[in-house]
Amino acid sequence: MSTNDRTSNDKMIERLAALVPEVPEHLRVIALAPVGVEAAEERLERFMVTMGECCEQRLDRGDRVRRKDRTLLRLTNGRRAVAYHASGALEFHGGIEPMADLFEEMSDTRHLSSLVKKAAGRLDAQYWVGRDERLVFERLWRIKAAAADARGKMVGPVLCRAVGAFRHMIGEVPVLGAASMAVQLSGSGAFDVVRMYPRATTNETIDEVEVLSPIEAAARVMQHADRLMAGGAERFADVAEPTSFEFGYYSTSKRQAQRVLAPVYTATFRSGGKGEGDESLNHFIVVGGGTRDYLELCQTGRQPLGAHRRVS
Amino acid sequence: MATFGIEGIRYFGNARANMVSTSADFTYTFNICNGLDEALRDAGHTRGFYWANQDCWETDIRDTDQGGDDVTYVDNVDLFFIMTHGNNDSGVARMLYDTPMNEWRTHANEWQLGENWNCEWVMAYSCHTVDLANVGAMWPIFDRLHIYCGAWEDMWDGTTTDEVGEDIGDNLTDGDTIAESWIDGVSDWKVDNHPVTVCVGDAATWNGGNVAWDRSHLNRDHLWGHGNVEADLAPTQQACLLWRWAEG
Repeated sequence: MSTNDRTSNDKMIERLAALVPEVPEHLRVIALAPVGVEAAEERLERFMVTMGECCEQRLDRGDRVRRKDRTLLRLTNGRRAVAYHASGALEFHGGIEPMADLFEEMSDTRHLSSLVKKAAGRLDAQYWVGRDERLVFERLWRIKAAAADARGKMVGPVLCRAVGAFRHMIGEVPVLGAASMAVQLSGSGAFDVVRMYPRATTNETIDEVEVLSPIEAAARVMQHADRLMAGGAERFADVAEPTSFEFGYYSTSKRQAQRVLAPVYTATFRSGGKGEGDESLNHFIVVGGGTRDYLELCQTGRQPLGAHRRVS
Repeated sequence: MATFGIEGIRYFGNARANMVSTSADFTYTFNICNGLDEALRDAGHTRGFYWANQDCWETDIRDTDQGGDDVTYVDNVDLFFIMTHGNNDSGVARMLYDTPMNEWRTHANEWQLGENWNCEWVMAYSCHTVDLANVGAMWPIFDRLHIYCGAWEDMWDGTTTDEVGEDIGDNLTDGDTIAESWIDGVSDWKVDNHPVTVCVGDAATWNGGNVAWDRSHLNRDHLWGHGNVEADLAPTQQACLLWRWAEG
């Protein structure tokens, strides 16, 4: 590695670290409640009582099918609900056609945020998190549509759905990862999709782990990121732009089991290559945030399973 | 039931070494591709091909009339999924490969999908392949193709999107529409994924500018075996483009 390489890497580490506000010196490592098929299905039953109340009809009766990693509850009118066995994550799909029940107007952000927060308030969200925990509004998303004819005459955009993303907070520490809860509403305010992903905590503290400094964590991130440029003349720091660096707990993907909540740092990089207009796809990197690692973070990715080899 | 083809590129070391691009490798390409492959095969669908890394070639999607071999690959399956780096030139999608077979990049002005062949749906997990200000540039690819699912801005490779292959596959086989399966499947509502779905519509759907949204492929098309599939629209029947997207 040349001096220049070290310099661009060091600069990137400093830039990343500067994106994180103050972090605690220590953080509790919290045991999660065990989840399995039965526990996930019990959660599903409870969830369907709530969703039934929200939809003003009974939704606890349906055709229940156990699949490889989830239990699927098929309901009438195209509705369905899912419980994931490894995490206990829950989903409800309201069976509304994607271009049906559009909003009558393109409401502003404040109005839509208020709408999704109000809807979330009907979901008994506090039931799914522990004491001193809450689900807080994080971000509003919108799903829109438009059309144009061959002469370029355009119609729209129209607003199809408003989506509120919420974050599981333990005290003041966020549980990072996919949105902990997401509420997708159609124009009439009906629940189109609901995702309830917070993992169930226990009162058991496994450890009080010392937290890595942002600089130490950023160095870990760059160690991982640099592997993504193997064999080339450029380093990751030369071609990527950091867009966030956050500290918190972490919830892995919904099909993955997890024993504890432990500290992590997550970094996002916009990576368009060096040249203007290069092709791109961006990077989200998670590293352990404590001096002892408690999470099995999949940082290597899988290899193709069953892909064919080609003969030219 | 449907046939499908998958192409996933994780490593771009060859493109970098040949100074074609400075784009980084990915980490979760095959978490995503394997996930979609398994979800569809578990539901009884047939894998036509699954190519990885340098076994993915641009000729697979390039129209046969333009020197490609889409009739054997992309246009020989109902659903085609690809994950790679992407962008667009004035609204024309382009994507990067890690081997020049025959070119390093594919450009959508060399695609013509559907025709008298098979392809109904293309899904590209790749950045910026659609320009929302110039969606019309994608129109020529629709020669009886039903829906193009891509991105109008950034997409992300990470541990919050490593299961999007399973999610898309589960949505499709649980009976969601193609358009909803894509937008819901690739969205974790945390990272800035920007999915978009584009389709063509007939004169009755355009309806003189009073668009009948419910008639569109976006609203009506499902994977074979899991709901309604609308009839192909030949170029002479196409009166409009319709698109649906998520933004944060």
